[in-house]
Amino acid sequence: MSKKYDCIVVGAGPAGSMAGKVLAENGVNVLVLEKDPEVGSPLSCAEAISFSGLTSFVPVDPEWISTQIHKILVVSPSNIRMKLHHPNAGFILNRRLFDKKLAEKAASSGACVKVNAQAIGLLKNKRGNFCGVMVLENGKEKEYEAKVIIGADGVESYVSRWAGMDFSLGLDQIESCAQYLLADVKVESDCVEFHSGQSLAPGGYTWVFPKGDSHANVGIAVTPDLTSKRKAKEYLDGFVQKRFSNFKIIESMMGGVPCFDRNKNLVKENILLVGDAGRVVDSLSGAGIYNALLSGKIAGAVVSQYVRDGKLSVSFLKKYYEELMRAKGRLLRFYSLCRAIFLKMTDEDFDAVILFLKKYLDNQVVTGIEPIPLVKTILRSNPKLLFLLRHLVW
Amino acid sequence: MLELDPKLCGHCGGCVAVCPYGALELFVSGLLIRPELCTLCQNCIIFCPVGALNITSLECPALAGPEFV
Repeated sequence: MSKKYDCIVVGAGPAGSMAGKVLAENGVNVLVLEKDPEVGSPLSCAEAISFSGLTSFVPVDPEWISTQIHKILVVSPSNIRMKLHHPNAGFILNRRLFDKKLAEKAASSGACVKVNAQAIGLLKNKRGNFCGVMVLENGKEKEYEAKVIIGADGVESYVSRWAGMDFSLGLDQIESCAQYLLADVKVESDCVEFHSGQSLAPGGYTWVFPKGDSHANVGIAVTPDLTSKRKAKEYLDGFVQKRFSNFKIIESMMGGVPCFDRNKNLVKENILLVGDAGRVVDSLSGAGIYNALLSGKIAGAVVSQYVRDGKLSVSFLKKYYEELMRAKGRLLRFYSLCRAIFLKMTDEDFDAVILFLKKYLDNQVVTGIEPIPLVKTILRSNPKLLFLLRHLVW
Repeated sequence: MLELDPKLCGHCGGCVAVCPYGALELFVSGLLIRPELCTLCQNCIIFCPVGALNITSLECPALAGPEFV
């Protein structure tokens, strides 16, 4: 006989654990599945999150913070440098610990968290509705039934495929990323760096995120559609050689960052997608941790209400999508538009934008800058960029 | 045929996400290629950040037609 749960969450990353935590806190009988033997590993993440993004979800624990960020350096293709100051810009996390602690929180709230348990298919009942998950647990096949299934299984989301919600990402809808954890590097301990340029990182950017103790996450994201034959790692090798005279590579990781798609379904019958699985990502920066936590939290709250009521129709779950879009939809759509401009910008355009902003923002304290008015100002100063959008209009 | 260099692969799952044919599957033990579904479209090769995937021959079971004797 298969065991029954109210809800099964596939994946114990930030989105899955957050959903599991909220569900368990509301007294829902929830199972969280993690395919790897350890939560938080292997990791593909640059580990940065904004101050407000993190503190609105969990009390900050110094244990899983690597560094706190107060400065942002932006470097244009022809080396125009702009430095911004912010008393509370954000954090570089220790994601391995962060993910573990979040899963622990879900477990201590009452969720059943299983590691070494990979979902390998969805179960359907006689009427053809999804009713559970087939799991490969410690090498044995098991079946678990559930009223609701939350897919939090990352960019390659199988849940999304099995449910027929999405099949594959186009090569312009994903960023190909590579990152090194470097040791013995000279970096400012509270300053993140972003370097842009189409020859440096086509359709993307490189980043340097200090992790304390002369360590730094140095990585690159490129749009595979724009990179001829070179690989993200080759671009990264070139950048690291140029930027640092002295370094040791102590870890190498890679990954794919999906781009937000306004037409993507996040809810189908009793299946919900959260985090990267639902492509809930800022398409311009690739920032996904905050969005994962937010979508997990909203999904958890909506499913809790659905399960506890017991009489609601399954279409109630669409409320998850509506609430997520109310909270973040405008910004997600806006960043998609920014990405469309970004992909068409030449090195001269980057130089012009950074030179323009430098006049006002260089070495300034920049609290309370809203992204939408900022980009509007940039566009007004450089109408050529608006021209790049023309293909979207007709 | 599509082939994987397991020494380079970092199990990130991006190739799985860009494969239009479901020919790639990621397990804890590694990446599984299903040659019977792979059409050599190269999406995964273009995506892969480290160049772990390569086409070694143009043999392609997924596109092979019925055999006439």
